[in-house]
Amino acid sequence: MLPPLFSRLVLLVSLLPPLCHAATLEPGEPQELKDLHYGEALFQLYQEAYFPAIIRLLAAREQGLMKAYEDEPELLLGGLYLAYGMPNTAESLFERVLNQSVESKIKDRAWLHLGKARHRRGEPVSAQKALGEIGEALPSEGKDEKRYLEGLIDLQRDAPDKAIDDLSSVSQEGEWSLYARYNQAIAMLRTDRQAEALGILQEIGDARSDSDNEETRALRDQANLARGYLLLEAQQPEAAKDSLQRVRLQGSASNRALLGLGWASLQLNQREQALVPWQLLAKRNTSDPAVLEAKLAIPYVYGVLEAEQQSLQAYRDAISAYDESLSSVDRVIRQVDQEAFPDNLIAASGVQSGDISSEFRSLLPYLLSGNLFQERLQDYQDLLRLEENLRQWQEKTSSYRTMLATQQQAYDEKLPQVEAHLKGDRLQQLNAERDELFKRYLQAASDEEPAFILATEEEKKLLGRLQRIDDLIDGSGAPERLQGQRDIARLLQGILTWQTVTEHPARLWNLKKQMRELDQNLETAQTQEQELAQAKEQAVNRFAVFGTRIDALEGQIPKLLAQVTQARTQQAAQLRAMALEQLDQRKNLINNYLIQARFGVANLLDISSERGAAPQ
Amino acid sequence: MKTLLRNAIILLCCLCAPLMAADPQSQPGPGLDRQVEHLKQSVIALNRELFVLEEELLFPGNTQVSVFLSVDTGTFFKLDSVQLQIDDKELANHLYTERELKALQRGGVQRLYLGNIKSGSHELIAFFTGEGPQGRDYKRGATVSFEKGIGPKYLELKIVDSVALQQPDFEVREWE
Repeated sequence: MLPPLFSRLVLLVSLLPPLCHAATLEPGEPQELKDLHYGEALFQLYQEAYFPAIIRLLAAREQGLMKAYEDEPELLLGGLYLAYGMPNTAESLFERVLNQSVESKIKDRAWLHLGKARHRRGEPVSAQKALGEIGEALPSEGKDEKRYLEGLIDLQRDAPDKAIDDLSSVSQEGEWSLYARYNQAIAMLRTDRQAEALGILQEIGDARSDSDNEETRALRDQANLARGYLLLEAQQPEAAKDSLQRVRLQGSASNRALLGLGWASLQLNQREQALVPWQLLAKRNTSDPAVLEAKLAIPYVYGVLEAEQQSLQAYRDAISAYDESLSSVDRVIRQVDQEAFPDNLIAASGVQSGDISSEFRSLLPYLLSGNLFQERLQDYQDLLRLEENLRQWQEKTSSYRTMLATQQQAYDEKLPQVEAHLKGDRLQQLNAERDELFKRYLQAASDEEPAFILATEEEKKLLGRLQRIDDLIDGSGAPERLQGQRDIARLLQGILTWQTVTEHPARLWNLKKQMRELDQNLETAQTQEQELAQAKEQAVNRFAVFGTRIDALEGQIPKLLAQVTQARTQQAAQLRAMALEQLDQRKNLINNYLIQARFGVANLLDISSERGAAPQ
Repeated sequence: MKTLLRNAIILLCCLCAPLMAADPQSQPGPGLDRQVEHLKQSVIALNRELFVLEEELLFPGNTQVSVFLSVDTGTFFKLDSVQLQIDDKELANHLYTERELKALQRGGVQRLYLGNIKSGSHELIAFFTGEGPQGRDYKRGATVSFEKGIGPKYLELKIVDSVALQQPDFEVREWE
């Protein structure tokens, strides 16, 4: 009974698609931090926050920062555009880097990125051309990624022999090695080198390690699953069982492994043993086609074992499960066919309760499995976030406008004081005082001028008194009688003159020092006054410039917001159509199972009636 | 049975379907795809302008101060939180998630604080809390006095591994 299945499997296995490893976006070789803003963009990037990372880099570039790096930020920016689903923008940027840069290290990385961008857009020929331009300046990880990409493109272009060559040159140590080995096995299957392919799949599936992460474990499961089905196809059920039993019971491949295990037992004519994995599988979520299949396989085995009662009951259980699945799919279709889709789908993926949510959740892996659907859904979510971003800026620009108006009001209130200060003649007075002081200094410094010019007030007072004493003696009528007093006065005047003359150089130096300080103070006052005048002028400009900028940017937001909303609505319509198509296919599949189960029941009833006893 | 077998074939077709997620687009929808990319470009360009405007408006260069944080490999210290003070005023207090820590350990630099201060002399104090060598609770401080001039001021708090001392070391670097 079974051989026809496996003869048809040959073709299908040969069409096994290659696995793609999504590389982590790395900014190149680790290096010393040369700019904080570049590091800040990396901080966002490593948290997969691509949008803010792009904005940080672009803003830093506009502000003239990150000069310590050459084209590194540009390459990083291009990688971010790719990760953010903007392959055309990335391509333009890489082409610009290639035209501008002279460093072969930078050029090679730009060609690699360009190859990835084109591969992602489904342009294998131009992607291959870009990869072919890469020289020898790439680090080893980059070289591996290049060979890996070339291998994938070869497979895509139906050149499995070349793919084997490219993939086998990927080094065994790097992050690309496991995926390269798996895809090498796929390429070998396409060139009828099945034994070698099986060897590689076994090597991947068996090599478990404590350091394996979830991605690696899933890949090992996938290798074991593929090998198991290939061995089933090759009529080697024992070896197939061995491979399928290595698949983890809770992984995403476990349902298909359980199904395959049942088939392997059946191939070995171990019918009762076939029931064990299928009964386990039949209790699982019916959203998986493997579970639906198991529900039909169980009554078939009972039938082969001539356990008609159990077979009939199992068929009835299957019919009941299929009916329930159909109702569930119908309910989901009604949800999909609403305006709220795909928001309700996104919400359901995060909700833990609710009937519709749980139905959505259970169907999610199958609805989302298509590459195109996933990309469209990602775009839809990106557009949602862009709408939110634009709304936030709308609020912010409005508050900035208010803030600017408040600042201007405060400025207007202070302006009269500033203008009064600027118009005032205080600085002029100070300058006049300084000129007077300078004149005095020049007089004092000249040899002709008496030292008394720098006499202190006390000395001047004393000199005045001595002069008055002299005048009094002259006017006394008998000055000769007062000759003693005159001598004393002259002596005192001599002492005072001596003191004034001897201290004159120190006084002159002091005056010069004071003048220097005054000059400095005057200079500071003049600068401050100029700054104040400049600030006044700039403030007027600042308010005007910021006001204009806010106006211009704020004006763009509503138009852009409307466009984003419109694109999101179109995206939702496409997602709805794609989901409905998938759900329709699911209904057809279940209906197909349902017909077979009903046919099985009818068949059993026919057999029983022929024997003359109807089963219960 | 034949139908059953056909079903099995269909299942095998699905064998690798969910693993094609990173494959190139199989059915490109150029119209809408281009439109979405064009819209992303426009929103990014607008965001860049608004980001620069916001910074110039709220944090002009003559008063702007930015404090960044970076970590070394994190062998001797696993950061839990950072508290930042300038002139005895608490300005930032950040608790780190695993995701943020990994981003820092891979070479990312976090902008911990962006604000305004007057020109002149200031003092920055940062307190780092986390898990030190041998899994012990660890709290350390770092301080620096700095001059704020007319241009923006950039300071970097660095947590580095001192292999010689088998201890974390906390440094503050002033950037031009």
